[in-house]
Amino acid sequence: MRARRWWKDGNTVISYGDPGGGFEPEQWPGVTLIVDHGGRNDIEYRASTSPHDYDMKTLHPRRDGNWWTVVERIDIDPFIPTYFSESKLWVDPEDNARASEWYSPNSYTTSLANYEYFIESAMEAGIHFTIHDEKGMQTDSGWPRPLTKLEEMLIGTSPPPPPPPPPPPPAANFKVNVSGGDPKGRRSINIELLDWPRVVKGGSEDFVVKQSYEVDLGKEYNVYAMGSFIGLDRGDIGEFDVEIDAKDGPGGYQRSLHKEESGIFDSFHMDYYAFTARYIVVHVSARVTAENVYANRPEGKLTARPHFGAYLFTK
Amino acid sequence: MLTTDVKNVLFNGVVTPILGRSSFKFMAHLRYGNLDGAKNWIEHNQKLGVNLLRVFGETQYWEGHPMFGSPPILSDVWDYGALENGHRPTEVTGLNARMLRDLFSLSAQTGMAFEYVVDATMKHADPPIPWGTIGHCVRQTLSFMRKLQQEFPKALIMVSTHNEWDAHSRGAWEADYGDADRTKALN
Repeated sequence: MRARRWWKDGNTVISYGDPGGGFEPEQWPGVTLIVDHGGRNDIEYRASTSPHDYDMKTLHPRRDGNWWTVVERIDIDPFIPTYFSESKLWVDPEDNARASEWYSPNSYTTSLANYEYFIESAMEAGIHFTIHDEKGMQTDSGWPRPLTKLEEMLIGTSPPPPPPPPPPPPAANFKVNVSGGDPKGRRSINIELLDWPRVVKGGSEDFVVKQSYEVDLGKEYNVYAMGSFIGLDRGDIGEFDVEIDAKDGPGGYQRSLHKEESGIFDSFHMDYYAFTARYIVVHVSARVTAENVYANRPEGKLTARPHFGAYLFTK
Repeated sequence: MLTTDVKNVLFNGVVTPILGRSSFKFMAHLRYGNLDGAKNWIEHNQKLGVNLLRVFGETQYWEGHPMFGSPPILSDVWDYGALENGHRPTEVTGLNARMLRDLFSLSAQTGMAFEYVVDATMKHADPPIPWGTIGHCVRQTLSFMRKLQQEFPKALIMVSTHNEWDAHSRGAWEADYGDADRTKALN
């Protein structure tokens, strides 16, 4: 049947051998075509990687005798994939009474241990394997039991599903305010971080908040100073950090406050720099580290409510 | 696209050992437009680690042979009246074309591979369908699938023909290797 008609660019020729000239076997060139051999442990058809032949050594292994050890008795060809496409039928033990009236005794098994050995020995030998079971034959999601014994076994031996991807970080929420400037052209740029203030919890590294804001100033500015605001209107002891950098260049403003007691700290701080940038990145982080017995913390123990701001001074 | 090299099976270029599952009545879901049922079965099996479903393209001749505990429900895929009278329809039926298109589309959508058995039960027909006529159905199906693979390049389909060749089929061996009397009788 196969490869007696050859095809190229819509033209068909009939030939018992390869006519050459780039013609491919008609039907479905270049794609896997197999024939399932019934009830044999070897094949009697031509299978090879040649385009003239079938693409896999495909068997329905015999179901009699020690069927589950068949891998020990077959010839595994090193030059073509071997595939068990249909084999001993698996039936759940609790269905045996009915199944014994439907199927011949040799055609099916209720031995999960034998079937598991059958699958594992085949796959360890590099044989491609299709499970042949009663629920699968019926293709019935509404099978009387949600999981057959065989399906339970598969879940137990399958690798666990990959963990769900982490949720995307919340979209940065900020606003850029550019002052009108003084007679010398100096301006202050306030980057309002609108996510703050908000409550940060302590007691676990999972609660540490780290957030970055990529800010487009709209045009390049000559930055001569940068500053930050860290406020803490209530809560426990913590560490609060602001960093400001040019996105693809210099910067390096770093400020890390450790609030160790209930007293006030310097909420605003400015340092001098000299660089030109249009794109700025602001990083903030907040971690609550310890309980402050004096703290006002309506949200409960080990909580704090910081808020942040970033400033650029340009000329 | 599902391909093979010397030793391996490749799913869209990635070496992938097959852990498949018999799903003989899968195409019946598509026959009756039950795409949700088909997707549920795919999802259920992907959770088990199964990456290929072995499906039958036709089950008409389970009738009278109550195989696998239920009558056939996948009918009218081919013009069986014509086949039984030795005719060779030159195209797949509209119903068959829709089912095959849904199969390719589902494979491309879900990443589930399929072994599609073109002629699962035609060999059981009584009176027999000539072997050459069955081969003609195979060729018509493959020709149509070539177009679908171009339309759905990510679909993972391999095609099985002459299912259980040596166990049941009439005349396969003779057709290829010679036994003029039997072949003539069957064609």
